[in-house]
Amino acid sequence: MMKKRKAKKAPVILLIVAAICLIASTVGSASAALTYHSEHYSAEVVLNSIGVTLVENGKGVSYRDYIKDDTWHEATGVLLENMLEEGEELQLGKAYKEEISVTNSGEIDSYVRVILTKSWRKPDGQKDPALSPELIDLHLLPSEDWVIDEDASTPERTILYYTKILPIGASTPVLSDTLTIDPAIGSKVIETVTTDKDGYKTITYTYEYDGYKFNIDAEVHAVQTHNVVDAIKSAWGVDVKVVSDDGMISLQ
Amino acid sequence: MNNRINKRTICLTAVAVFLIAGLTVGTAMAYFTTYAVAQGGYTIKLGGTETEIEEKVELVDPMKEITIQNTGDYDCYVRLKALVGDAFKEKMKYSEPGEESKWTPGADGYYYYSDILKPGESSSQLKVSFEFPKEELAQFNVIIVQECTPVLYEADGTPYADWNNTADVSQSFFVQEEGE
Amino acid sequence: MRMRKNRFKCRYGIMIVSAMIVSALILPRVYAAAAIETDRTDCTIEVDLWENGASELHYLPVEIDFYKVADVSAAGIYTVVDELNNLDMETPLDFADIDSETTHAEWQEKAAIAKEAVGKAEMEPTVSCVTEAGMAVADNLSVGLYLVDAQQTESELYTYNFIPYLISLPNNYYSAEDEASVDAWVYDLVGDKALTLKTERLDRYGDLEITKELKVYNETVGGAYFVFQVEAFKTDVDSKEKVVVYSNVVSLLFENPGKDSIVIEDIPAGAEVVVKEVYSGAGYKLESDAEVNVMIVADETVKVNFTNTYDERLNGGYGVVNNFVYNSETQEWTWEATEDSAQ
Repeated sequence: MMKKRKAKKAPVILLIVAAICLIASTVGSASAALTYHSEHYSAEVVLNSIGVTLVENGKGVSYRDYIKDDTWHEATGVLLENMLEEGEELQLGKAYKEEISVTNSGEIDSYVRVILTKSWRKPDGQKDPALSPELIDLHLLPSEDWVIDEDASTPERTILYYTKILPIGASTPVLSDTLTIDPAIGSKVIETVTTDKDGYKTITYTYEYDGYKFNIDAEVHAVQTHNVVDAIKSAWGVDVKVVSDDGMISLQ
Repeated sequence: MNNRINKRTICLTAVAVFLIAGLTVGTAMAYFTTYAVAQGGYTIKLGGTETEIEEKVELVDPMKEITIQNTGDYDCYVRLKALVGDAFKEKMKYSEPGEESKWTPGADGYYYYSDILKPGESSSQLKVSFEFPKEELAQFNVIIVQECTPVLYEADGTPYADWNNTADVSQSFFVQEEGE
Repeated sequence: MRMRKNRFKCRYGIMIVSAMIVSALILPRVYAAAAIETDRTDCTIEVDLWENGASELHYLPVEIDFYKVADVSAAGIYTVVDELNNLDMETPLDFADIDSETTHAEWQEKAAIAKEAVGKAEMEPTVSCVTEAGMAVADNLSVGLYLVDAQQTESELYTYNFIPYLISLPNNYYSAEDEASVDAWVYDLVGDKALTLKTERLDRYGDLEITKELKVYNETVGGAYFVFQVEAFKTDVDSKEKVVVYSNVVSLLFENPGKDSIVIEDIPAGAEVVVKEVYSGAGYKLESDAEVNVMIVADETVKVNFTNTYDERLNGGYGVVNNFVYNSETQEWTWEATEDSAQ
């Protein structure tokens, strides 16, 4: 008699527990929609802090490392700050050293990607979409390690994925080596031809792109290695698959 | 009686399992992520540079010591040549003081300076020596011409000079002055 | 159009062609073989320019005036003619101090004084003649001392000046050192006794004007600097030697489009000149011929033209002219630097 009563109660209890769990999980899922700020499991953060540093020519420029309790150790530097020597004007056609890489400055292994955006601005600060960003030649070094997502990339914006796990404290190889501004930008002139009453002409040249400013934005993103396919899909909206035992990923 | 109990149990369990399974399917999980950004850039300043001749002249054992200074804002390469009448050409000689070897003669008569001249810098000296003529030709000129050209770079970063580099005119505006 | 003159002159050498100098006058009275026939009025003087070394005188007409400045006695004593006495002159014409020791230079001095006297007295020539094919004859002359004075003449290339001198009618060519010479009076100075002229040949000069027309000028790239090389040769009409009479470089700096010129003065007439634009600026090109050949004409300006335009290069640059001048007084070279030759 007693056994039968117990047997009757178990499924009901299970059902109730499941219902509670279901309700509870919907609360948590809303916040997981944010790709940059993921603050769950904060109780275990000391052992699981993610951190990443953008490195230029061997020196860290910007970093963002999670500490605890929603606090971050972070700083944002200036890209290309030490590109020119003191007093030097930018020389067109000169290949300046520009080696970009990424260091894992966190406490967990991660996967990383870099988004590079190039643009031109007129002297008044307005963007000039007509001037080709390809004149800003950041020479990339794609390889098995750094893969360009060609489908998502445009002349202005290039996305590179580091296909391997980046262990704690490790740095990727460089994804670029030089930055060169195409000298073609300096040979374009606007000429004004003034003809005098005797038919003689005076030409004045103004350089069409004098005063233009080029800009490079570099963003490095890092994501945990655990459950990498879902993590990357969730964080970056990109489909990847793991293609080797050591965690190498490839874009779908 | 047992069958009914079993069926009910099975149904409830199935529903419970289904609900629990639903927890893991289609739920957006939160992941560890972070990012860092940096940006930078420079303004393009375009213009030609300017160079000036500096020279020292000796009248005994006549010769000129010539240097060229970059008085503009941009790196450049320079070249120069000395022009004289035919009566003086044979006796005119170029040399560099000491062990220097930065001026190289071209087939076109110019002497090319090997180094890039940065703004404010001066080249090393080039000496031009000559002989005074017999007094029937009692006046003569030695004309020094010098040119500068912007520094260009190959794909591998090697700098070079293109003395025939021309302007790429993208737009032209024409103005006619009023006649008098 | 601005025209600028190039300051330096190129006076070329003055050549003195010394003709066969009339033999030294010999005082007749020293060697008085016979008395002079003082009543003769049929003497002849012939002028022959074929031996004097200036080949152009073989065809250029030369006017020669003969002035009788002194009478001669039977004993060979010269007396200044009345017309030339009592003139207001620092050194009056006088032949009283003439003797066998009188030097050639002293005779030249006398000739110069005679020329001055003739001018002061406004004396008409006793006889005038003009050479034809290098020859002239003055005849029916009385005995006496004559001033031979030829007028300056010029060809296309040269100016000829003649140094006046004195000749005696009759003349005596006896010389103690010359055994073949005869102590006799010669009343007709013809044939091998014919006179020639002491000639000074000077170059005539002309100018060369180099005009540059710059049609298109780029004021952003900078000044347009042009250098011309000028080489001039003259073939000497007598020696046939080809001589460099000018060898130099000159320049023009433009800071606007248009025309500008430089004039090189005093290049010997008849010189063949090659003008070459040897430098066309850092960013300009020739539209006309790079080399022009001309011949200099006396007292005229020969013109050559060059035309340039901008060639779209972006090189900058300019030049400097170092002008070296020889100072014949101090016997030193001096130097000046200018932007172009026009300064």
